[in-house]
Amino acid sequence: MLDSSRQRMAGGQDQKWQKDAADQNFDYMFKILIIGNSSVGKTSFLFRYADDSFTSAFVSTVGIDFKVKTVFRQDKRVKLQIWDTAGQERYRTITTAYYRGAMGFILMYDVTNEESFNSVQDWVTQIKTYSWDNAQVILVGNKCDMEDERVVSFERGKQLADQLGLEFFETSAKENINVKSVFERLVDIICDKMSESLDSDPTLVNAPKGTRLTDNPMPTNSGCQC
Amino acid sequence: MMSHLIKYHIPEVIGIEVLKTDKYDNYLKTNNGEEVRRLSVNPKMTPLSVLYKLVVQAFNLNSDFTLSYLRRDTYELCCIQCDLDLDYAYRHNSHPCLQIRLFVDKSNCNSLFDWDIITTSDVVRTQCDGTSTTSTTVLLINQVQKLMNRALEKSKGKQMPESVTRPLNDNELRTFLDSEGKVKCIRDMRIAVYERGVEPSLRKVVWKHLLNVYPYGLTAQQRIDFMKLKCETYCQMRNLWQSNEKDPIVEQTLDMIKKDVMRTDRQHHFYYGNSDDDNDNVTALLNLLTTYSLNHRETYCQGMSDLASPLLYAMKDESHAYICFCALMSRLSSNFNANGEVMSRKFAHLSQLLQYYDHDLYSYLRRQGAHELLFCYRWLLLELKREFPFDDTLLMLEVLWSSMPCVDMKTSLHLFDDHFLYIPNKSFHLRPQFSQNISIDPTLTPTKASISPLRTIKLMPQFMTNDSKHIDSSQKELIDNLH
Repeated sequence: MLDSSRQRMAGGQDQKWQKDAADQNFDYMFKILIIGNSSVGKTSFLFRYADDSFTSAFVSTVGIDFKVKTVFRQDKRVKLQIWDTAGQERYRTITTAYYRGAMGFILMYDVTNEESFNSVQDWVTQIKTYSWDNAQVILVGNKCDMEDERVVSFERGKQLADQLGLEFFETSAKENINVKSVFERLVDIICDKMSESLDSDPTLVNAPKGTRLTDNPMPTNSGCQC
Repeated sequence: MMSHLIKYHIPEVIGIEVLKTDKYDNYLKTNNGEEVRRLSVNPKMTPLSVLYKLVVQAFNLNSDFTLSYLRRDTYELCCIQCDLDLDYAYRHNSHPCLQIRLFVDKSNCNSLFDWDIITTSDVVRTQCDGTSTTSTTVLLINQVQKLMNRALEKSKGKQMPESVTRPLNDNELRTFLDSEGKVKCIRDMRIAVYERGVEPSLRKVVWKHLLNVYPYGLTAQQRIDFMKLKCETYCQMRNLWQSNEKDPIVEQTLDMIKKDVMRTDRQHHFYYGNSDDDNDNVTALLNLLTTYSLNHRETYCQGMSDLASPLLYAMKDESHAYICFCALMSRLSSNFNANGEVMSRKFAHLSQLLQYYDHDLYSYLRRQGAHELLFCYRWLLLELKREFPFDDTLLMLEVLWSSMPCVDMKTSLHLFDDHFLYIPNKSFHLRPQFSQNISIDPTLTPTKASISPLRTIKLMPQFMTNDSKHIDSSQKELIDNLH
C-alpha cells in the first residue's frame, strides 16, 4: 500500500529517490476521515483514490482501516493519512475516537439510498461533537453512475450541503468520477484554513495543525498517528 | 474410514508380504539377504496402529521404521502414513497379496546397539595397548557426541513422527470417546486439536465439541437427538420471521444483513458470486444471521457475518451452523456491545501483554501515539478471521478455540436470548421480561422444574405439553396479553 502510493506520489522525482524516501519525506501530514452510513461506498472510494482499483467484492469495514497517499499541492508534499471507518452505528465508539485530530472529513451518502441521505445531519452532529472546530468537511453523494436507481437528486444534495455550509460533490468510485477532485479540494480547503487561522491567530504556530504553508518546508512528524 | 471399508467390498482376510530393508529405494526389488515375513490380517480389524505392532513383532524391531506399499497399477512404492493410505492399499492393491516394504531408519534409531561397537574388552585392551588409544578415543568421542545429539533432539521434541503432526482423523477421534460415544476427556481432545488441527471433513463433528455446543456427558446417540431437536427449533424460529417478511423490523434486519452477506467471503468457491440470488450458501448465511439478530439482545452487527461464514462452510448445514454460531456468540457477543466496554478491556489486556512481552515495541508505538493499539480492533473483534486466507483461517480458528478453557455445560445451549424472542404481528414489540432460563429441550436439562413453557407458546407448541401447570397467574396474564 505504501509502496504504491509512493510510486505515484511525486511526479518529477526519480525512482531511486522514491524508493529511498522514508515516510518523513513530506512537508505536511493531513489526517482525513471518510464517514457515512454502511455500504455507501467509503472503502471503494478510498481504494479508487489510493490504488485506482474497483471491485464489487469489497468486504464490510470492521472498526477502522487506513491508507496513506502523498500528493503535491501548492508545491508542497502533503501526506494524507486517510482513515476508512465502519458505517454501522455500533462502531461509533471506536470510530469517534479517531475524530480527534482529523483535519478533514469526507461525509458520504449513497444517491440510491434515501436513508443514507437522511443520516447526513446526524453525521454532521458527530463531527461537531468529536472533532476540532476547524475540521473541513465535504459532502459527497456517491454511486452517481447508478442513474436508474437514483433516489436523491443532485439538487437535493446541493441544497443540503449549502444549508450545512459544506462543499458538495457527486461521485462514482466505480466509474472514477470526481474521486480525485474531492481529495484535492479537501486538501486545498484544509491548506486555506490553516493559513487563515495562522493569519488571524499567530499563537497557533506551534499547534500541530498550525504549520504554515508559507513557512519553509519541514517535516512534521508530530502529526503521525499511525 | 470404517464406512469406506464397509462400502467397498474387500475380502475378510488379506495376505501381506513384508520385505525389510535398510536401503530406501523408490521401487520394489527383492535382493538376497532381505528379510521377508508373511502375515494374514482382517483389514477391518487392522488399522495402521495394529499393523505397526504386527510388523514390530514379526521382525523384532527396536528402531523407527516406515512402511510403503506397492501400487499394483504403477509398480511404485507409496508411503503408508495414515489409515486412509492403508485403507486405499487394502482396497486396491491387495490382490493377490499386499506387498509392503519395511524401511528401517537407522539414523533415528532408538536403541543403542551402535554403542556396542566398543565392548568392555576393547576398553581393557586399549589400556594395555597404548598404540591404539587415539583411534579408540576418537571413536568413543564420536559415539558420545552422537548420543548427546540424539538426546538433545529428543528433549527438544522437535523431531516428531508424522503421526503426531498430521491433523486429527476419525480413528484418532474415536480414541477420545468411550464405547457409547461419550467424550472421555474433552481436554485431551482439545490438546490434540491444538497441536495438530482437524481433518477438514471432520470439522463438522469436532468443532461442535470445541465450541461447547453439547451439554456434558452425552452419548453419541444423545448428541444426534440433541442436534435434531435444536435444528427443529431453529427451523421454527426461521419460519416464523420468514412468514412475516413484511414486518418492518424483519424487513429492516434483512436489509442490513443482506448488505454484509453480499460481501462476505465471496471470493471463496463456497460463497462465490456477485449478487444475492445466485448462491444458496449466501442465502443460508443471511437466514441464520437474521434469525440470530431477531432473537438476541445483541442484534446484528458488522463482523458477525465473518464469524458465521466459516461455521456454515464447515457444517454445510444452515441449522447446524446456527447452533454453532449461538455457541460461539455466547462467548463473543459482548465484543459487539455498543458501549464498547468489553473491547476496551481487551485493548487494556493487549496493551499490558505487549508491555510485558515486547517493551521496545510498546515504547515505539507509544512514541508514535499508537499505544492504544486501536489498529488491532479487527483482530480482536473477529479473532483474526480476516487476517488469513479462508482455508488457513479454519485451521487457525480451531487451534484458537481448542486453547480456550473447557466450559462445563450444565445447561443446554440457548438458541435465543431470554428476553428477546421474535414474536410476530401485534405482540411483536413486546419483549417480555421473564426471569427463567428457558431450555427448549426439556429432556436434556437437569432443572426441568424451572422450565417455563411461556416463551415457547407461540413458537413451539409441541414443547409445552406437561409443563403448563408451572404457569402461575401473573404469567397467565402476560400470555393473555401476548395473544
